Amino acid sequence: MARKKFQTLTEQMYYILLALTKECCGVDITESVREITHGRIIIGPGTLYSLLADFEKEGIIEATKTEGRRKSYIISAKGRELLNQEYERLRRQVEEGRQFFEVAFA
Amino acid sequence: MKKDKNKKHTLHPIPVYELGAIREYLEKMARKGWMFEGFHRNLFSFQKTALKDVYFYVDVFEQGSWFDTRAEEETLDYVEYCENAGWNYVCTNGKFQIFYTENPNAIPIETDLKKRLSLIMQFTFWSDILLPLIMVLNGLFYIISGCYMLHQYPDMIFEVSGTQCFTAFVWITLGLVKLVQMVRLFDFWIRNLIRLHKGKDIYFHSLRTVDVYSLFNVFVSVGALILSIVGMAYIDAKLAIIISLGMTLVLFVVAYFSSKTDRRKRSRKQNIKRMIVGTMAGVIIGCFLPILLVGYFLTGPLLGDDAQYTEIDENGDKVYYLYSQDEIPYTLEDAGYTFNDDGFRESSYIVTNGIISKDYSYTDSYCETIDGDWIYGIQYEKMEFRSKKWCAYWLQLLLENPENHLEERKDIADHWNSKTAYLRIYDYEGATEEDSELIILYDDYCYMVSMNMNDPKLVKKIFGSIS
Repeated sequence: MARKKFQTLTEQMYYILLALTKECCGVDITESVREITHGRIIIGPGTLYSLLADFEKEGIIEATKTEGRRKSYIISAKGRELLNQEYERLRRQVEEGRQFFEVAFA
Repeated sequence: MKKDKNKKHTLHPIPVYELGAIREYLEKMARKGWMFEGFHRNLFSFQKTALKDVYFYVDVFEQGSWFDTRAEEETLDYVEYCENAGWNYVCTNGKFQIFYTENPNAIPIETDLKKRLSLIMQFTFWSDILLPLIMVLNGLFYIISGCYMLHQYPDMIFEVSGTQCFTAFVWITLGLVKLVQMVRLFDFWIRNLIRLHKGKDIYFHSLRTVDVYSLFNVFVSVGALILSIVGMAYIDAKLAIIISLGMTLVLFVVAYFSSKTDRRKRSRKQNIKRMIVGTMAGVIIGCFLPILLVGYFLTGPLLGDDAQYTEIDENGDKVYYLYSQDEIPYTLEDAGYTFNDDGFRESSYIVTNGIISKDYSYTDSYCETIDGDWIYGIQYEKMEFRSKKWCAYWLQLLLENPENHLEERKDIADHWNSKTAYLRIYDYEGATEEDSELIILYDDYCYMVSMNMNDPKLVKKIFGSIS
């Protein structure tokens, strides 16, 4: 079930996991993603909260510490594998597309 | 009680999925100097404010519960995320979370629009899909069963009580209103699925469109109720009017106390407890109060009846159980029956206020044991038609009904519009004279007597008393 749900990551999922390769407080992830993507991807707090809850439930991320209502997370081994798979998928897409683009726009 | 001039409460019906219209309404009120504080169903509360240009976000929180009237632990965590993104928390009501900001460029709370649409559709499932579907099916049931009944047995229209007719009318109207509501929701869902597929934003109807629709809703629902009460008044169904007004009053009282108590913010657990206790109390009151009020006080002393006891039957008709057989025109003894007094004897008088006829029915029955079948019964029925045409139509249906085994048909046919005529019917296959029914038309009234027709003295007595 979980595999199907996260078989292909959306852009928002992908960048949240990227941000969590370093330990990060949940509420600060929006800012981290904004920095990583130079403001291209913006994640609303509602979407972020919901995705973090889903990721934690599926063991994709792990909570590291809690200060008041602020909870910090880091990507788990399972999450890292998922992120690698997604990275590989995206890289292959770019590789496979490159030769066509190079011919088309040469 | 002194009215707080800094507070304002408005009643504004908006379908729960029209989050855009709710947002538009709150922003409109803020521009008028009223800051949103909280709401209960369609009742919104505001407080005077100096803030004018505020932007609201009506959010659906997945982990919220329908029983939330204040933020629970998980909601507070969620609020922390939203506040960090520049949104100010206003209130929680069920799965609704309302936020505002003064920054027009604040990040929307939900940026995954597919998720937002899915949450909206999930949380409207009970309120806008399942319950309306039950009401639509209920309305359809009334329409289909009514059409089937009138097609198979056209004369049944004379046996339907006014209370039944108007109840059906109200349910059918409410079913149609709910059908429109469901079609609108379906349109909202499909339209937005297509829009999201094309990469567009979720489309909500404007406040103006929603207001026009809500006005239509209120107009049709209240109109149906008023029409049914006027209709019941026309056919003189006092009891049905008392029940309708009583039920309407109970609904208003329940809504009033519910809105009063919901303003006190309780925890989810307390609200669930309150719901269970409230439902149980509602069931107890709903079951016993009508029996006490309608079954005893209203049908007895208030309506001026001195019968042994009275009740409302399943058709909404008023049934009087009589003290003695002297109060009915023809008794079992008159019909020639002999029996001992060891069994159970019941004599009743039923008044059916139909929409096209009024039916007075006296019954005298006897059975050997209290649990046994009726073994003797005599019924004397007088039908008063609201129009002569209905009387002629009813007789025509009787004559044309192939299931009726008629005797002395010529007699009534010859006196179709006469003052006096009679017709004898064996109303089912294999019925004997003892099971026959005698129909007497006299002076625009129809009298029906079901009993033993072999007794010439009895027939003479009936004719004698009528003419």
